[in-house]
Amino acid sequence: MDIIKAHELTKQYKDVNALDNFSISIPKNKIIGLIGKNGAGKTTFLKTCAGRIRQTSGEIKIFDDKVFDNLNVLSKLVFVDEESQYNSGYKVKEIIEMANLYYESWDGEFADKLIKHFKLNTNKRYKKLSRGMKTQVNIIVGICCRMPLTILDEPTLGLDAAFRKDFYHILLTDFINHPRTIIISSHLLNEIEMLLEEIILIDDGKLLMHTSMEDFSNYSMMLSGNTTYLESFTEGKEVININSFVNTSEYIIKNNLSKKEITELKNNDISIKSVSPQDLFIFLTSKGVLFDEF
Amino acid sequence: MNSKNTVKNAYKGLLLNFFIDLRSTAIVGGIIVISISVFDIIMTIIFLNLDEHISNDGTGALFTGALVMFIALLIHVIGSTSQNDMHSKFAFPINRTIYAVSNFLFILFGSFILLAIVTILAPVEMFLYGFLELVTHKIIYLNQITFHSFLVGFAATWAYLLAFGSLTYGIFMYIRRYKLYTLPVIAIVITSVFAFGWFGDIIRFFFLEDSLLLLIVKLLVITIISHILGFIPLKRMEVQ
Repeated sequence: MDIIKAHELTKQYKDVNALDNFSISIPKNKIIGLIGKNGAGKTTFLKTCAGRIRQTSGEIKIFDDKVFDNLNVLSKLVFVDEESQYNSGYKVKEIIEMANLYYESWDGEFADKLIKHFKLNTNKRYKKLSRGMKTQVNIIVGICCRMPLTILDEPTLGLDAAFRKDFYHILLTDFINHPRTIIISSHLLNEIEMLLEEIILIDDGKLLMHTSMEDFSNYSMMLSGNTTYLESFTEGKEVININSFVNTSEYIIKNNLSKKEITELKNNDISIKSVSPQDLFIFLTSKGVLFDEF
Repeated sequence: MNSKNTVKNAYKGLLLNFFIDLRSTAIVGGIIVISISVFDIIMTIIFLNLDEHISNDGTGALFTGALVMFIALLIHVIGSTSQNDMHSKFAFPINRTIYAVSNFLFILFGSFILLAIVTILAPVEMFLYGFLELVTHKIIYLNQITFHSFLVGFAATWAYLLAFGSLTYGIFMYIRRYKLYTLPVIAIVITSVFAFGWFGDIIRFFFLEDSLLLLIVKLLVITIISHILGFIPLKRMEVQ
């Protein structure tokens, strides 16, 4: 069953299309990564899913219903914003108290456990917290409300590496115990790839790719060797990126070669390597031009 | 989860949200009222030491208090219509109807709470002046406030707070939604009211009614109309 169905979704801000005919179906009970560069349209899509903003055209249905201003849908989702999202004058304990009132499925025990784990002072006001601590409060609310659709927009902003790792572990453990649909947006794919079952790649407001993480990891391969040979070999093939150094080149191509072709490459001293998902994301969204202007 | 519970939870959460917001306004307003009263008493003591005779009718804290809370409420309402504030409210599951109704309930009960704070402070001031009168015999303290006059004053002031708070809310909803485009419209409305000489008539008709009951009814009409008009821009407003 699909939880989110977006059809030709467009969101226009003056002359810019933040979302451009974006169509997608997102299934139930999976952790899905929404990956894109800054300004790719990730937050716009997530805010549309959360009913914060209205699409200019197209349609979006969540739990088979329209989302904007629809309490029946909004009460089944939580959107954790990358920005500070609570009133700066509130104490942490007041935010937790409010979350307890709003969310019927609120897990207060788990929230207390996380507060202790993150060593948060609940008497401190939200505005007095560091960026990282604010993120921790946002994360606690996002996880402990246990909403069937949990949307996390750049949830680890301001957290140091240790806390980020900690967060991913907490999220994964909680997901295993309480399966739900979790969408995490990020531009740091290498950090979240171990969590993800599916990946959505977005660029310039358009859907670039929506596939399983496994397929994405095997999507491409890197061929390194003689430039002239690689030029003729890759003719007619889907080339994602090329890096040339004098007589040798690195070609990133789609991984759909036959056994015969792979043997041929090896016989011609061409090395074949896998491409990391983070690198592939960069190649796919840089449109084959990396550092050329510099 | 049934939708009845969802609505109930949203109201409970949002009203708690609003009243936590009111706390700082009430504290600041209360401190200002106390400061003015303390300043007033200090000045009285100074004048008494200069051998001056002073009279007081016991309405100081009530009048200045109501005025301070009136301004505090308007500032609070303006702040509560800001994008930042809406962003923090819509971080939780609510819809725009619940937000609008909660705003009405907040202005209704929030203005009552602010006035109640002033009412609590007034007897303290009365006691201090009574004490000064007893000790110095140079102060004439005339307590003109009867229970009836207090109730009438309280009801009328509450209705004024409610109407002006709601009017501010309604206007600022348009300003938040349509930004600077709203200002010329407001300017044209105000200018035409002045130009056609309706201003005095409108003020007299709505705000200077002799009958308390009629005054309250008119102010309630303004309150309800302001909230209904404020809902129009809110209905499709995005929370960025």
